[in-house]
Amino acid sequence: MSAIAATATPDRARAAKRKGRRDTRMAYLLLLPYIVLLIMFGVFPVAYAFGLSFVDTIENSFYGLANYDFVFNDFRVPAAAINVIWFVVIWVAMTMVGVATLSLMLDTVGRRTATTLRTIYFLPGAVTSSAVVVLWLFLLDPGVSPFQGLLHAAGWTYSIDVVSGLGLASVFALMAFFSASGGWIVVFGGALSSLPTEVLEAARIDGANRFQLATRIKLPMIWRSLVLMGILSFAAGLQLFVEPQLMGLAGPQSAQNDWSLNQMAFQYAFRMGDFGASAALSTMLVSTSIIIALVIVFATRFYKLD
Amino acid sequence: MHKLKTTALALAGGLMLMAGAAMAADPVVLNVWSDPVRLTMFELYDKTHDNVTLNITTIDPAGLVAKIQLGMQSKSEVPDVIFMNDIGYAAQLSTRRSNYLLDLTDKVPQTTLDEFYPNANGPCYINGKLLCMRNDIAHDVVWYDKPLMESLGAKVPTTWEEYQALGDELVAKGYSLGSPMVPFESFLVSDGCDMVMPVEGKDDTVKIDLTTEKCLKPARMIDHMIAAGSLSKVGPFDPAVVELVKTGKVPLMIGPTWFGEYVIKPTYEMAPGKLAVALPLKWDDQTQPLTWSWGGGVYGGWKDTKNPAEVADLITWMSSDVTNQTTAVTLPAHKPSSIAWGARLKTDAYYASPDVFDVQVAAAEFSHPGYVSLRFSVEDALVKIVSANIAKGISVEASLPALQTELTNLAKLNGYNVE
Repeated sequence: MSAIAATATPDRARAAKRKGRRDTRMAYLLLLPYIVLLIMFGVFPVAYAFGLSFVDTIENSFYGLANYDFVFNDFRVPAAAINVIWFVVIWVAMTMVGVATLSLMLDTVGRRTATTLRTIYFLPGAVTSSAVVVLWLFLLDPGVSPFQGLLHAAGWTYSIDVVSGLGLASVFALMAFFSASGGWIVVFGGALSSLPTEVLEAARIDGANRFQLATRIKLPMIWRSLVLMGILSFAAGLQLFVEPQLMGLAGPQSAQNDWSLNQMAFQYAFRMGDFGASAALSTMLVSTSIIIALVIVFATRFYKLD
Repeated sequence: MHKLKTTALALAGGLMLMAGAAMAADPVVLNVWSDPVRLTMFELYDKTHDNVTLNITTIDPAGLVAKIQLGMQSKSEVPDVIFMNDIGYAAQLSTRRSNYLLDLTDKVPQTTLDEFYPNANGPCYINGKLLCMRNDIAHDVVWYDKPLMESLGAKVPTTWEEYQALGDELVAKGYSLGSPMVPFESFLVSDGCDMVMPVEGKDDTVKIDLTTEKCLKPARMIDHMIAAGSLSKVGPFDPAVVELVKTGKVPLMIGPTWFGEYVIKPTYEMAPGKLAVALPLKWDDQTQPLTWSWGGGVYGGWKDTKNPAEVADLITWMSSDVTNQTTAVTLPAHKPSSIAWGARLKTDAYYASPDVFDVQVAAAEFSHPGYVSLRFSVEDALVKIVSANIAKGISVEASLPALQTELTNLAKLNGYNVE
């Protein structure tokens, strides 16, 4: 709102301002239910955990940084951190390449085929991640898998051979990729269909084939959204829990109880009864995610309008 | 205003009357968390004891510790009596941070405790205090297919040396010895290896030393047998192993007492009239076997219960009442109960010989004293280090130093002194 306009026509400006205020009020009113729930189930637990991380939960006394000290001195934590980083790196790379490739390819086929395929891609995402894990344990067991031949050809007889051959980080990344990317493919389908047709038309007239159109025109235009997806996946990947936790279903020789950081937090609270240490580790995890979010919002141009 | 006051007074009087009536007539109410299997046993106690009413909730055994932690943290819904299907829970529920279990040392008569099998209550003694009572025992014995062993001309081994030789002999004929009850714990401790063993007379102290011959010898045997193909490197429930046993390629396997009834019969589908059982194996230089266990549940009470006497009575009854335990699902830890329980096995036509129960009783004498409750899982550490290494082709023997480091770290992290 420019100052010159305001002095020129004070009445109209005031009316506009009032209307603006009313709009804002309306927006907040509509946001209210979400904000209430966010405070109850998002902000409050985080604040509670933050407070708990400085407390000895037995004596209910201030414990200083002792809980953090305990977590840092646990020999399993660095190993779990490395595991999670490997998982995140593999998963994010798979997601970015896989989702971009599939979305761009879907954009070149006929609309009806694309819609059908997109729905199929989306389906695994509709299954809860615990069920996906069980499904994958079945798929990766050379004894029962429908891809038996392939697994046997790789020289694998038992599921532990497959897990050992691929590496746990890759196995979990594979599970997460198939459950999470369908949703992103749908999102990118929308993004690609809203690209300005005149630009694509111009490229086509200039003689660009489908491949060139995808890599030279469409990809640069959706690039920022792809990076955003990568960052969001990174933050989500740090919270890895279900996949390693359920590995024990494949038999006692596959159980992984301290593979990821979130599992460690779970172990502290529900095995050792150490809610303080659990809160300390969770606080550190959530801080990492918050820092990532702040970087996206303030240090990049993601939320600036062009 | 006046009217309101009268109503309030009347209401309060009524409430007091009700409370008084409840105190006079109502029995003691105990909150019980059971697993589905033990439900009928708790119900029987409820039915046969007028002074106590049980408020029984069925809990998923795997979530028990977590639920109790939450209950104690929120100071609500803490049960008076629980059944723990994992002996490790006793240690996990008696630490400074999760101090749940009631000390039963002075509450259970010594004469009752003496009626249990040797070391059966081993998992319940923590730092010299009795914190729980054992429901069932589950020591390893040798299970074999009698007609198949006879047709192969093979002799049932009595020592580990013979067992290894039998493996070599069977592999040559296209047979094997099944799965080593992954993750190898029972094999590794069979010669008295100090793989996290409690130290007598010292609280919170364990001994971890995997460098001795007592550990290396069993490790070498496992390595030899996996390399030879007489022992599978995966667990007994792996589809590949199940298929192998089903097709009659495994004439003999080592497994806990419940294996016959609950794995070999339903999962491996062995035909009736074949299954027999023999005493656990010993090493040549041992005078008698030392047999590890797999499973066996325990009962425990809440230290802050309002009715400690009733709690102790319920726990004692559940674990040692003969009528109750006679119909139990698995072999009772209480010897007189187990004798009554085992009668049916003697006439069970499923087994190839009538001595199945007698052998299990004899084998109980050799139970490993180191089968105790620990705050961390040795099994998980074995999975993490040894199973993972075996999958990569690294031998058990070569994995022992890494396992020692892992176990030592875990023990220290959980507040144990390590010797």
